Amino acid sequence: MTEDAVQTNLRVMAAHARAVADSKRSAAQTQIVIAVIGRDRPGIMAGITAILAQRGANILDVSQTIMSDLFTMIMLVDIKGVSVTFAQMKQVLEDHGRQEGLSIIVQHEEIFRAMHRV
Amino acid sequence: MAIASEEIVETLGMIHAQKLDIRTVTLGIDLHACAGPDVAQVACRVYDTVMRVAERLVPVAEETAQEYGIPIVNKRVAVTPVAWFAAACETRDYVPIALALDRAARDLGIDFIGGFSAIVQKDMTRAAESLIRCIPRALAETSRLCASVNVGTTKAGLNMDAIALMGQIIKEAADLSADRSGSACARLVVFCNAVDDNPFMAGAFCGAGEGDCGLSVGISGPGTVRAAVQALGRDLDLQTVAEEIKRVAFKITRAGELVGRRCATKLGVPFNIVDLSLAPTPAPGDSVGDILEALGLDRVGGPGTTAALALLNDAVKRGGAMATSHAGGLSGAFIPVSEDATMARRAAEGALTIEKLEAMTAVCSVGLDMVIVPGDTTAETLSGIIADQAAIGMINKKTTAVRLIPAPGRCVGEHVEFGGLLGGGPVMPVSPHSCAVFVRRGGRIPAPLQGLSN
Repeated sequence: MTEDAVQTNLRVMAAHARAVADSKRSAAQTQIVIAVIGRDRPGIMAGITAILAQRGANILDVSQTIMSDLFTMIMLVDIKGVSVTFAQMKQVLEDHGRQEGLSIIVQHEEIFRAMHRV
Repeated sequence: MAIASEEIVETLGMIHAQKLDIRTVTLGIDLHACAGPDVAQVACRVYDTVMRVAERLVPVAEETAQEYGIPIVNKRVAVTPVAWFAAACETRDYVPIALALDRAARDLGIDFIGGFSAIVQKDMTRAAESLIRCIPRALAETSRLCASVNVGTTKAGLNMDAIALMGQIIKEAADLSADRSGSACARLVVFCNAVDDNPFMAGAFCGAGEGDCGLSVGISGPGTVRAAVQALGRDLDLQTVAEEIKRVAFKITRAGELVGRRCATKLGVPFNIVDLSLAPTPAPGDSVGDILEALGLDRVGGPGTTAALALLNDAVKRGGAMATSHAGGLSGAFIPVSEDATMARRAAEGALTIEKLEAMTAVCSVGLDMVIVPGDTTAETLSGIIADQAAIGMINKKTTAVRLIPAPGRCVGEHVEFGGLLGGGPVMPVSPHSCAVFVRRGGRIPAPLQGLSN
């Protein structure tokens, strides 16, 4: 490859990286993290995903484990275009948690990015 | 890069188990334009200005805390030192301005409002002296107002006339609030090298060179740092410990910066600074004393305490400075006795003394903070303690502050409770040897050679 071609490729790659970073930054505003902890039993996941689906939220990532009878789940959810505000979504999920005896924590994803990425 | 589950769990642990919070969002407001000859009218303008600029501070802070799931413990306002704009008043009684500020604080629903202040390191203007003489009444008649006086700087030396006066003022403020164990003194701080952008009370004011308004953040998180230090065990060397504290401080500060910037954007005001101070509360586990003991001290106040505090203070700054583009305010660990359960307990046990706290001041902010002394401590002795602290600040080019509470009618060893964030603690013994002749000399302690830095 010639020197010029290398330079051009590097420029294209840098522009791509910038575009990805920009889209991530704007996405951070609409992405939320939902953490759920409670005694394991059937239907926990179904209850939460139903609430999200009814309001048009899109699940991007889920990680779930059982540790000595304790159900723990962390979910990354995109709330762009949902039918309710962030505060309402948080309220509904927390109310659901109280009813079902689960601890449900809802936060904007940005705080995790700020604390764990330089 | 996606955020890993372990990182999410770590953050949740910091917030929910280790009580990580944002200690304060503090809105600085310039009040120079409120000046005028009629103090009643000035008080009106002060109230209106504070209400207008800070109108949305509390709802915005609460909404932001919800969004990020991290509590904001205090919402505060810091205003222009009142002595600066009260100088235009025909009267010398500035208490109406104090009442207006307190009323605004109550109506806004904020926790504290600071700036009933005078800056007198070299000499006192007529207005500055009048304001200082109003402080006891101003504090006794309010509940959210904070007052501060700067009595020295490295550049100007120490104003010993002002220091002598402050001993009397503290006594007076204690007497006027005797029914509350002298708690008015908990809202009065005497500084050397005061900073203009401090978000922490009682010493916050919107000083020279600040804009019309700006939002600053004070971080917290002693519980998080203690947990990290404890997790390292007892065998790792101090370099490794410092490195770990640095990493935690980075994360805490990033959370503070994010929350602060978000609040500022929503309020439509400039973001000012992040104050990198580990601020304790009386809640169990939220203690700077606990960190020092986790570093390997049996009891805070014993040998090694000053060195451990120096390590902690510097490591927090290193991590914090990386995490924010605008560090400011006091930016150093706080060691308030009554506001830190472990410090208060060690003081009650006799492990922590006023003399040790004085030494600790040399390596952190802020100094003799929330120290309860016997009610019969003389004004001259209080002034002597203030002068000692101020001298450490002046010579070492750093901020020092004194917040002493001579609890009326209380003796050494008794427990005094103030409640809330102010906590409670034992009455600590003060040296019985008099410095009255030294204090009464008055005049100025000349600026040290360190001040001639140009």
